[in-house]
Amino acid sequence: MLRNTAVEEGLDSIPTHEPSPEAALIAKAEAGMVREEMEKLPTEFREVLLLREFEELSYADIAIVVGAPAGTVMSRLARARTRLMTALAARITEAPSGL
Amino acid sequence: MDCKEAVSLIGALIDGEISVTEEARVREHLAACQECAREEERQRSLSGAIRKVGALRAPESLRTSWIPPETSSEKILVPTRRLDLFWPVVAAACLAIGVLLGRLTLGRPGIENELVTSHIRSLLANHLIDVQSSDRHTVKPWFDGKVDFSATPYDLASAGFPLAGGRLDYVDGKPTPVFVYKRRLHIINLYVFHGAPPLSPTEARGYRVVPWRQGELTYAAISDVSAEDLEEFHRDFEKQR
Repeated sequence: MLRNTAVEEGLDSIPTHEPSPEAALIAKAEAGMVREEMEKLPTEFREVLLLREFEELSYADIAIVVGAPAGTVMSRLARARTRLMTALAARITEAPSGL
Repeated sequence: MDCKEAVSLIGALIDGEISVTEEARVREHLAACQECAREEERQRSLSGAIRKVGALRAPESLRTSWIPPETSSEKILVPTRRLDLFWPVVAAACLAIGVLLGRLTLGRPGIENELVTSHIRSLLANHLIDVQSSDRHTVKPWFDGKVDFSATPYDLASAGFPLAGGRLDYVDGKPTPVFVYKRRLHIINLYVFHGAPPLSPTEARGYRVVPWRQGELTYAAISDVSAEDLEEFHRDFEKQR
């Protein structure tokens, strides 16, 4: 819990646990970069991510919108996030000055 | 809980789409496993970063401009040359808007599907019962302070529906008390809502949902028992008040 609070408050506070550098970097990732990487995601991944994070729909509602079972929504979201995270991590490490 | 299971549930944890019992198990694992705790941090950061993108524009303009603009990144374009992408995106956006509007008005989509999913999860994930008792005087007080309304888990053993216990679940964005009844070897989950969530009698994936209104509360019984049995359960429960 301590660790989460530290991350959520941003990096002004120094976490008492070992900080997770990727989490901090991702938190600071430039919106334009995040958007670009979201645009590169396959449609089926992008749509669940968009419905979840922008529209804040529940899994059940996303399931209705995309016409897939809730379990599929859950796994698709997980894969979308993993892909996006990998892509962002690659961008961030290759261009640290961009932050 | 092992790392594989914990990691698979982190997304649902962040999204608030996890049962109270599962959440406790995941959190227990995260407290003990630094690697998984870091994964949770990363996912929370990612979610925050995505939401920042969403906050940049009014939602409508964002939806229509979502296709990568080919000239300017700021101008909102409707790229007619990319019809193949355009219409599916428009359709998805319309659906999303429809769902959003629907949630605000009478026609908001029912929560039957969510209930069925919750019911199935309760059977699969071994979190059927948080408080195990056939005594309603044990089950009822257990919910005190957990939800802001009170409902009575009547014992219907004499009618052939013994009370097995209760649990707290999370449905329609709210902590929801669930009373667990048995019918021979079958389970009947009775979800209790304050107010009137959008619910109608449904049959889905082999389960039946029978909702009814009683005063300020809405009940929804879900089970794989026969329609007659579930109706009988409904009548017997209603008779108790």
